[in-house]
Order: sequence, then C-alpha cells, then structure tokens
Amino acid sequence: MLKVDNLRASVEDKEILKGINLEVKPGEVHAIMGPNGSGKSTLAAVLAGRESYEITEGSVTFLRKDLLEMAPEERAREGLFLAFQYPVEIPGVSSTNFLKTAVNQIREHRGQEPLDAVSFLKLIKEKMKLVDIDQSLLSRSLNEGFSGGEKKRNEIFQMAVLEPKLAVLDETDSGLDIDALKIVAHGVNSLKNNENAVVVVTHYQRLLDYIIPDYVHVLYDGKIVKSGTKELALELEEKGYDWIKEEANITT
Amino acid sequence: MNTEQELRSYFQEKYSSLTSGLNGEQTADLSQLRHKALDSFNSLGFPQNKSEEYKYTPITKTLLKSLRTDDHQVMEPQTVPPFNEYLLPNLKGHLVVFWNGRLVYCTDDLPQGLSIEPIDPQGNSLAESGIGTIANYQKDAFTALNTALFNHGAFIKVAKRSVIEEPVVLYHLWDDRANYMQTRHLVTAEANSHSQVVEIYKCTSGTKNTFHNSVTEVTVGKNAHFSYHKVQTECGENIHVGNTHISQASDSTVKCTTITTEGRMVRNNLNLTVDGSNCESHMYGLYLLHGTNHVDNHTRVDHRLPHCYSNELYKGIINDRAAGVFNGKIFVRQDAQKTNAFQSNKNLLLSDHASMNTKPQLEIWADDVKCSHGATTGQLDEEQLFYLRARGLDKQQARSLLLYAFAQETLEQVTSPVLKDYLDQVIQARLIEDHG
Repeated sequence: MLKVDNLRASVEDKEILKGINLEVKPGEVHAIMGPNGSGKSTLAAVLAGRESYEITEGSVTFLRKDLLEMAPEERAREGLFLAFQYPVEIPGVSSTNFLKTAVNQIREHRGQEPLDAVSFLKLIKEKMKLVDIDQSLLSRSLNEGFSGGEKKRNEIFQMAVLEPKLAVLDETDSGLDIDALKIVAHGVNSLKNNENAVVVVTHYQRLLDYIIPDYVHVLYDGKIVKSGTKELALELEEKGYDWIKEEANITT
Repeated sequence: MNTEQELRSYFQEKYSSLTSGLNGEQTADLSQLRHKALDSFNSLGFPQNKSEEYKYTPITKTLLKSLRTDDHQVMEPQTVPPFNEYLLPNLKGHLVVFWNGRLVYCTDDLPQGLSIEPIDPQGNSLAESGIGTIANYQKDAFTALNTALFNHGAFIKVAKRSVIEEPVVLYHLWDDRANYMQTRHLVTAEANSHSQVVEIYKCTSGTKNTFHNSVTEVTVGKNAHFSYHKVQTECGENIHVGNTHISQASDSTVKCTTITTEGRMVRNNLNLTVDGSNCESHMYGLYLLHGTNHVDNHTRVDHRLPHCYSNELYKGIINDRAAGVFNGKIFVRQDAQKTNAFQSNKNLLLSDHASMNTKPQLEIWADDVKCSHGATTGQLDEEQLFYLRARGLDKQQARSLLLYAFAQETLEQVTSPVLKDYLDQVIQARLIEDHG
C-alpha cells in the first residue's frame, strides 16, 4: 500500500529525514516511535504533503502511485489521512459544512454520487457514536475553543467519516487522559479492517496498549534504526531511548 | 478641469442655477442654510493633497480627472423609469426610490408611527426636520456641498414608542445619464422607538463615471433602538462620498453596518455623537475589493457622557490592485467616565499589488475608562489552508472557505435575513469569481 524508499527531506537546508525505508501493507498497523526531534512528525507531514519541506531524495509510492507528485488534496482523495498533532482552529468555518465538502470531494474522486443532506447526517450520527463526540461540537466552528482532547477526538471522528485507506496518526495520544485515550483507540480499532492500514506516530508506549501494532519502528536522527514487533515498544518503555541512541551511534 | 478652483466654480454655477431655477420658491430658512453652507464650502474647498483626512484617498484628483461636466441629461422629472427590476427581490420594507438622484417613488402605505416625506429642493417638508444641526457643514467640504446643493431625499420620522418591524429601504439607482447626484436624508427616531434604515446603492447600467455625494442625518431619541445598513455592492465606476451623522440620546442603542464590494473611489464617513449616558453603539464594516477599487471608511465616535459602550469591527479583503483605507477615531471626553470603547480593523491582502492603510486612533481625556484598539493586515493562514487541503479540499475551495469565514463575522451583524442572504450571495459569487 505504502512504500517509502530512501526518503530524504530537509527544511531550510537542514536535513531532517536521512533515508527512510518503510513498507506498509493492507491490514497492518505500524508504530513509529522515537525520541524528540528524531523526525517523526516530519515524516507524517511529508507524507501528507506539507509544502514547507523539501524532498531531496527518494520516493514514496501509495497504491502504486507516486505520492510525492500529488498535491495534499489529491493525497487525501486517494485515501491518505493525517490526524494532526495540533489541529488548527478555524473560526467561522462550520465543522459540519466543512466535513460535508470534504466527504463529497472524496466521493467525487471515487466516482460516487455526492451525499445529500439526509444521508450525510445519518453518516455523521453513526460515526459520532464511535468516538463519543458531542453533537454540539459539530455545530461550532472547526476546532474553535475545543479542548485538547476534543480536538484529537474530532480528528478521529473525521477519519471515521472519510474512511481513508491509510491513516497516519501523529501523536494522537499526546494531551489525552486515559479515558479519552481509550475512546480514541476504540475508534481507530473499530475502523480497522483487512483493506486499510494505520501508521501510529507516538512518543510513548501507552497508546500501543490499546492499538496493538504489528510492527514497531524506532526513528532516530532521521533514520529507522530498529524495527521489531510490539515487544520492542515494551522494551523501549522500560529502558528508554538511550540504548537505541548508543547502538545507532556505534553503527554510524 | 485642471484645478481645484475650476472644480469649485463648477459647483458654484450649479448652485446659482439651482437657486435661480427655484424662482424664490424655496423656504427662507432653507435658502439661508444653503447660502451659509456654500460659504463654508468655499472657505473649506476640496481636500488638498496634504489634507490629513484624505491622505490616502485623492478624491479631488479623482474628481478633476473623472467628473463629467457634459450637459446634465437627467430625465424629465415626470418620467418614472422601470425601477422594479433593480430592487432586491423579497426584501420587504417601506420603499423610497431615487433614480439619478431624483425621487421617483415613495411609499404611502405606512404603518402607524412611521412617516416618510419626500424632501424636495424647495425644502417644503423640512420645517421641523432640524436639517444641518447634526451634519456639520462647517467642518466637512462634502457635507457643506451637499447642504448647498441637495435636491431630493427622504425625511423619515419614527414616532415615540413605535416599533416599526420592516426597514425603511432607500434605493439609490442610477444610469449613465447621471454625472453627479446629491441626496439628503433625515431620520428622526423618537424616544423608545425601534426602527431600521437600509441604504442601497446600485448602478443599473452603463460604465461612465458618476459622482454621488450623499448625507444622512440621524437623531436617535432616548431609549430608542436604531439600525442602519449601508450596502454598496453594485456601484460600477461610481465615485461616492457619503456622510452619515448620527446623534444618540441617553439609553439608546445604535447599530451600523457598512458593506462595500464595488466602487471606483468610495469614501464613507460615519460619525456618531454619543450625547447621552448608558448608550450602546455598534459599528461593523466589510469591504471586499478587487480590480482597482478604492474604498475608504472613516469612522468617528465621540463619547461625551459617562457609562457608554461602543464596539467597532471593520474587516477587509483586498485583491488585485485594489486599495483599502480605514481610519477610526474614538474620542472619550473628560465627562465620559466609565466608557467602554473597543475598535478593531482586520485585513487580508491577497495580492502583491493590493494595499491597505489603516489608522486606529483613540483620544481619551477621562481617567476611568476601558478602551482598546488594534489593526492587523496579513495573508491567509498557511496552517489553516494546509489543514483543509489535507482533508481533500482543493486550494481554491480552501481559500474561498477561509475568506468567507473571515467575512462572516461582520456579515452576521446584518439584521434583516433577506438582506443578509443577498449579501451572502454577492460575497460567495465574488469569492468564486476571484478564487476559482
């Protein structure tokens, strides 16, 4: 589904990703962990198409198409979804109208008829239950005045409505209390099937108790220095990142 | 014409022909008022290059270049052009229609408590109107010019304790035959009344330059609620100078919105004199400019007595080579303790050649007040654009959604739902036209 090959990216001449290799197949859950400043969020942003990064080398294919050639909106329409670490507040833009536009853009791209008001409402009602989000939030401006937890839940709610093929969750667990974490994880798990995939970018192992990964990768200094199964996450939780840094520094 | 002197002489001639045309039929009071106003106009003159008040709006230069002095081919007074097709469908209200500056329709179907009398050049209906008491012709050349030269207008009176549900709608329509128009309106909203006035400016056809110099004087009585909406959406190549002077008595509430999306050069002066305590004043403005539009909003709030609240928000979206100007003055006099006065001007510049000059001003003599003012000018937020695109909206959709949201804050202050819908459509159509 996703194949990242020797990806290098920099911002203002500072190289942040230094040759990333990653392959994600349908039905899989991958976790990307790593210390602060290792490039986790950059990787998520580059996949979603943020324009402030310059891709200097490498390639990314998504569903056999060249992802790096696509505008951010084309990536979204093809089925890529980024749950933002810091969802931006957009005063004056109604959450519901925005989401309806987004859904229908994606449907149009897939050759489907646009949803009418009634079916759209039915869809969002059904998905709201999934992340236990309150209707009153949706009648407000997008993310405006939402608490940190509400913003994160809104991201997962949007993901549920848009039904992406590949979801990249960028530190979705940060700022969540344990109850909110469970709700978010429950949302992600219920959407999971054999056709789609999830990449969870996280700092802590905590979220992985609820979203069980098939693979865990450790990102350090712009490279994936170690890959393993969910046991690797537990080891990291116990021992911290220092041993990874040491190992990595020895090999380079 | 090449000089300001020539421009002034041109209007002086117009004054002479107006007064001689009236054959002494005008009331003595009005004739005296016009004469004094002309004297003021002559001593004030059109704003010079160095005029602080017109620093960014070269109105005199524009008039010299563009005022058409060809024979005034306005229609015969008796002909009534088919104006119905230019009115906003569904906007219910008490209509008064002007065409090329002349009154062509004035409703006589009025609810109890509301009276609307046509103002004519003879000044027959002006005896008790208090014309000239609020709009000071000694300070502003255009108010002086209007006072000396106005021919038609409406005198609207809302009686004590009357609640008038539907707005009084003043339509100013024009075509290529008009070269200049001088309309004058007077509104008296008596104590404890509720009313609203809408002024709509609309070019019906043609591409020629026209000049409209308009004055509206409003007296708001004790505990009265008054709303005023000025709509300049289809103004073509119009050069507009509009002065709205409002005086507020104790416990009254005034709300003004000024929405401009077109015009060659537009200058709106909104002057509020808060001459009572416990008053509330709200001023909202939106200008959505493209091409070579030039729109200048000057507002002035004068707090003279204690315990008043005023709030002002003007927003601008400026594209292409258009220019916006904002100047907001708030005066808080020594007696106006416990005043709360807030002012904000926010602008988005969408092109490298668009410009905005903004100047918020506060002058405070009282020492126990809460006041703030601020102005921002910037571009669309890249983070917000990326967020929307990452959800599948293309660049144009994301831009126009954000621009619409930006405009919404002022638009939602328009009280009439029909008018709001109309403005909504105008703004959406413009965003689609300019941004995909």
